[in-house]
This record gives sequence, structure tokens and C-alpha cells, in this order.
Amino acid sequence: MSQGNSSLSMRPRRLARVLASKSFMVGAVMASLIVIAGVVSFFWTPHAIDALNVSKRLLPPSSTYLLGTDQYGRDILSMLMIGARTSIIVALIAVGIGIVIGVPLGLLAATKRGLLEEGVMRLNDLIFAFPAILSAVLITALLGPGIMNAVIAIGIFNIPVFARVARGGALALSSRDFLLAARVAGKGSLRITLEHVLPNIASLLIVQATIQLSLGILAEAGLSYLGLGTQPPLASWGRMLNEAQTMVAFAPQLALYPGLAIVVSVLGFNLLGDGLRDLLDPKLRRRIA
Amino acid sequence: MALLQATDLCLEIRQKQILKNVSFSIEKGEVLGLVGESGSGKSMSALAAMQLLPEGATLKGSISFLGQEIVGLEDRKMNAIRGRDVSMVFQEPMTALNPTKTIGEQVAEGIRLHTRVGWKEAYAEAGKALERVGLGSDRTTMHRFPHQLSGGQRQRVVIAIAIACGPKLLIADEPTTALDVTIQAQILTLLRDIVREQDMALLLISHDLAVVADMADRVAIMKDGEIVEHGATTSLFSNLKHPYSKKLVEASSHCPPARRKPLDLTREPILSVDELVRSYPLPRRTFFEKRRRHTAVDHVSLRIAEHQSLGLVGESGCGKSTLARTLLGLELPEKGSVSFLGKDPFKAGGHERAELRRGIQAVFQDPYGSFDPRHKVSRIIGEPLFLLRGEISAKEAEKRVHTALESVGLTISDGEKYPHEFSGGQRQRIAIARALVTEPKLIVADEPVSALDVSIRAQILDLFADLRDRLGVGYLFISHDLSVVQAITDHVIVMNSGVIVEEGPTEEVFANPSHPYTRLLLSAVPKLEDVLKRRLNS
Repeated sequence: MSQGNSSLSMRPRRLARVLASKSFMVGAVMASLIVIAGVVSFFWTPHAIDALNVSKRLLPPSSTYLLGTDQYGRDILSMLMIGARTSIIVALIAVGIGIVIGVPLGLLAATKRGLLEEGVMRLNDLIFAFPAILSAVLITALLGPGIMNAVIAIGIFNIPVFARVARGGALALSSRDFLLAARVAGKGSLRITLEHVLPNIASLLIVQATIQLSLGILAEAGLSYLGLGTQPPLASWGRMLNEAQTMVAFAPQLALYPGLAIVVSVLGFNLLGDGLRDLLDPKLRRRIA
Repeated sequence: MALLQATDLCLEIRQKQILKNVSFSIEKGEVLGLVGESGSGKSMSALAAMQLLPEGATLKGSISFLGQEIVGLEDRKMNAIRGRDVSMVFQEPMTALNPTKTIGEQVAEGIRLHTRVGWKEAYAEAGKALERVGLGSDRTTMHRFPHQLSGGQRQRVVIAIAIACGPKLLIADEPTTALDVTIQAQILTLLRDIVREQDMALLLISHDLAVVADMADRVAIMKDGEIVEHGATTSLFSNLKHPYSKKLVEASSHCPPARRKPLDLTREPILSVDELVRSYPLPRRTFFEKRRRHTAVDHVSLRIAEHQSLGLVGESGCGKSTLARTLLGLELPEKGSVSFLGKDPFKAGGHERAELRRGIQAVFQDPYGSFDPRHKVSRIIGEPLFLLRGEISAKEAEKRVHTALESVGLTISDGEKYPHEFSGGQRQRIAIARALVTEPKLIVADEPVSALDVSIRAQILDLFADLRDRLGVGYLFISHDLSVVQAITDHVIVMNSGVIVEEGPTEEVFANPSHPYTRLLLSAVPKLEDVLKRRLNS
């Protein structure tokens, strides 16, 4: 067996595989476009968007207004950039809620087994049983519209997703001898989970997080479209779509731009997740084999 | 004319040379044994003969079957040959069968495919095939699913599928490796009878020299994709020429040096187990049924003296692994008591418990699954030092890891590598180093060499013997392989379905087994010298 230089040749091969993975590359380009737009919007946008200027409404694309203006005279590009920021922040926090609560629950269920596991997993099933977006509408309607409530509503539905992934990954590891070896070394379940289980299921969680991010963006757009998410003056793709609705007959571009932004970001993060899965999974399998 | 003639096979898979100029031939009614260690290309040779090579494989050379060239033959024509004229028995009977179909259906399927008879006739034929392999042809057998059968029965079904169409050539790839020794003997006898009766040719692939020497008329020994030596079985083994074949034969009957220091059995044992019981609940068959329990370990008592090495032998499911886990403190005993160094590890708390655990460490079977793939070797080996936290400095810990690495024959720089960079034998050395790092009194080794090739196995056994003499560690050596236990232990316990059926000094038990089960176990294991002697005499 020639194993001497396998560690050395590992790196270039991995890079080559990353570049060869089409879905990963396309997804990465699309997702980073959205992320960069969002980050830049913190420091700079072509125009301020809180100033309504009716005299400049519905301008066609020009060198000052690259994508034109909407019916209130706001710069569409600036609104899209700020919308990207809103979407990503909402989706990120929602995924964060899912990971912070869901992963420990899933790991707890996998280590303790028995009644506790049953309890946690049935609770998950209960949350799964509600249609996510409808329930998010219900929650925001009850708590009142607003960006915080939208985050909470989307976040709740991420919890069972991560709990399941974490539990499944941990159970798949549980028969491996290295966990037994750690117990022979006198380590407790918490320490074993943190040292051995979590690092080994990290790739699963990363892939899931990427995909949930795209779903979060979609959910935020949906809630804002219904007027239950982001409130003015903050821009959001969903609200832009809503506002464009009445104008769609004579200014269809107003609906087109935010729609495209949503498609690009959702597709981008989904492809990125798929690509990551392809890149991370075979490696995991090869290490096990 | 030979039934199957393979000439100058060269196989490349993803630019890696797997086979180099491999040539062999099988006559009608002949048994050809293909022996070699893992990675020697013996399975790939068989897959080439079936034209079932994995994706991305390029095969050069020629294979003629009944005068027809089958290399590059289109798949449709090959399908007519596969299963009807050439069929295969696989290593793992559980994965070779479809879990959602009854065994009758699975046997009949092949018959229908190749003979174009109706289901009814195919079923009748399938019944005959199942009867032929000793499973009985009544309707209840036919309607059973693979999971309702034992491992040996499953392998019989796989053989029934293979012989159902009366093939001219049967390829058996490690047909008994996944089975217990007593079952192995039955399956080998069955294969031999079937081949003789139907005048079939058999290509038998195995890593086990004794099995091949017992079964084959001619043997080919493979190494790194080449046949290094081949010939008629008796003349080949009595006159081995190639250094590798000699090494292989030596390693398979290798016995590590005997103990240098005599044992003192009069002193208080370090580990004593009294009337230990451990059972598992079985799944309920109906909701209202009271839960039944399976007793894995049934009133087992044993003693291990300081420096002693105790062997625990038994077939799968006899409770030996459950016993080991209980001794390691991974499972609570239900009844009975365990005393290690005069204390009960299940009652000891905190510091005392850590001290007891430090004294008893483990080596597991699977050299691939027993390390966290994300940790470096030095961290893996240092893990049990967690039991010494607060007592030794980081520097002392590092020193201990280095000592452990060196005592198993690895270098300090190996500690900076990851486990996937090592071969199976080296990994088992790492596992032993991990067990040594706390300087234990006793190491529980659960099938530590059963996943290793014979030459590597010999090295690891030598290492165990060396550590026994040099460091004075005691072993609880658990294995299904009698030769391994015979080679390394002073005292042996034979277990069958949770109960100890025989125990005593190793030599005595092996020379004069008193319990019928022990006798059965001993007679079931083919030994190379005995086999060759018998063949020469007949």
C-alpha cells in the first residue's frame, strides 16, 4: 500500500474537486453576489432610499439610476441591495436559532435515548406537522408584524430540521468503536459529544444550514410580501414585490427585479448546499471506508 | 480444452495497476484455489471472469470460457452466461440477498431468467435447489425472508441461487469468512459435495491457506496483482519456491515466543468476576406480551492473575463481547460482582474510579472504526490520559504518548499524522499504544487480529507477546479464532450461549478438550499441516 504521500497530495486534489463541482461553483458565485451586495449596503448605496421623490418616479435605467426608480422615486438598485441585507440577516438569525436550539436537542436525544429521545422527537414531529409558512403567518399575525417576529417565526421551524440532522448523524456514529474508546478513557457523554460527535457531524450541519438559509430567505420574502415581515422604511424584496403588484401592468420591471433577486439567492444557496454535500460526503465516506 | 482460460490479464482502475499478467485456467470438475492477502487482486480476478468489474476499470488480456472470448463481450450476451454457466457465491450472505423477497422467490428468479419456464416450475426447481443445500423444500422454508435465517442458512441460500441453473463454473469469493468456524466447516463440505456431484468447476478465493489447501486441486498464490506461484496443491505446498509464499505459510502457523517469566498463580487475582449476569430485553412480538429477555452472559465467573493472559473463545452471539464491555465498565452488571484490584469498579466513585479504569484498557476489533478520523494519532493515543488529568503535566503526558508509540514500534513523528495515513496493521499498533498509555495492568482485547491479514496478524501477535514479557501486562484475549488464542494465552475459557462450558490451562484444553462443544470447535478449524498430511496419505 502506498500511503506515504497521501497527505501531501490531498490538498491540490481537493481544490481540483471544488473547481470541478459545477453546482458548487455556480452556487458560490450566485450566493456571494447576494452576500456582497448586502454587505456593501451597510456602508454605501447608490442613493438613499428613505427620501421619497415623486418627481423622479418610474425613471428608466440610466447612469444615475442603474435599474431605474420605483413609483415613489426610490432607486431600485439601492433597494435591492438593502433588501439583500435584510433577507440574509433574517435568514442567518433564523438558521442560528435552529442550530443553537435544534442541534443540542438532537444530540441530547441521540445520547440519552429512551423516553427523552421519544419526547424530543415527537415534539419535532409536532412542529413538522404544521405547514411552516402558514404557521409563520399565524405567529407574526399574533405577535404583530415586524422583523423580529418574522425571525422568530422562521427560526422555530428550523429547530426540528437541525435536531433531526444532528440526531441522525450522531446515531450513525454511535456504533463506531472510537466512541467506546473514549468511554474507556473515562470521558462523559457531554465531553464525548463535544470532542468526537460534533466535529464529525459538522459537515452535515453545514450543508443543512446552507439549504435552510435559502429557505429562510424565501420565507422572509413571503412574510414581507404579506406585510407581516420587514416594515418600512427598511427595504425588503417581498415588500418590493407587493408594492409592484398594483403597477405590474405598466411597470413590470418593478416586480421583475426583486423576483429575480429572490430566485438568484434561493437558487444560489441551494446549489451551494448541494455542491457542499457532494464535496463533503464522499470524503466522509472514504474516511470511514 | 480448459473450461475457463485467462491469459495475461492486466487490469487498471483509475491509473492504478490492479492485475499484472495474471493467467490461470480451470478444467471441468476442478477446484482452483486463489490465495492472497487483501489487495492482492484475487477478488478482482474473479470479477474479471464474471465481467463485473467496477466503473472505470480497463481490462486487457483474454478470458475464454468454453472457447468463447468474454473480454469485451457485450453485456446482453454476457448476461446469458452469468448465472447460467458461471455463477458466484459472495462473502457477506446478508448483503448478497434481497431483504424484501422470500428466499424461494430469489432462487426461482434466476431459474426463470435463464430457462424461460413458468413460475410454478421455477418454484419446483428452487425447492430442489434449496433441498440440495440442506434447507428442506417445504413451503415454510420457501416463504421465509433472509432476516429470518441464521448466517449459515443465508449462505446456503446464496449457494442455492448460484447452483440453481446448474452452472459449469462456480466462483466463491471468501464464502466462509463471515461465518463462525463450525458453520464454515458445514458450508465447505456442502460446496465440496455439490462440485463433485455435478462435476462443476470451482474457483475458490480465500485468504485462509488451510481452507484452500483442504478444498483445491490446484492453488495459485497472489501478491500485489501477480500470481507468484501456482501448482497442484500437495506438490505446491510441500515444495514452495517463492519467498512470499514461504512467508505466508510461516505466518499462518506463526506462534509468538512463549512466556519468559513464569506466572505466579498463588497470588490474589487482579480481576475476579463472580456469577455475572447480563441480559437484554427482546422486542415484543405483540403489544400485550410481557417483554422477554435474552441472557447474553449467564452466571459467568473468572479470575485473571497479574501478568496472566486469559483467552475467551466462542462463536458470534455467545456473549463474549458483552462480558468484555461489562468488565470495561461500559455496561452495568445485572447480578453478580466484579472486583478489580480488590475493589468494585461499579461502586467506586470519582478519583478511585478513574484509578481503576486506568488499570484496565481496551483494544477493539476494527482498526478502521476505532479512531476519530479528525484527530491526530498523538491525540488519539493520549486520550486515556484524561483519567490522569490533574495528576500529570502536559509534558509528562507527551512523554507517555511517545513512550507508548515507541513500545509498539512506531516513531514519534507518526504521532503527527492522521489515522487514515496508516495501514490496517499499523492502525492496530496505534490502538495498542492507546491502551498502553495509562500503564494498565490488564488489556481487554476484543478480536484484535481478526480483521488483519495473516502476515500482519503474526506481527501483532508478536507485539502482544513482547509487551507481555517486557511490561508485564495481563490480557483478556477475546477471539473466535482458536489458533490465535492458542498462540498467545496461558489459560482459556470456552463460552457458548452465555455460559462457560470449559476452562483450563490453554495447552490442556487444546490437547484434551473435555466438553463436546470445545471438541466441535477444535475439529471445525482446518489446520494447514493436518490438511496437507491427510492429503498426502490419501
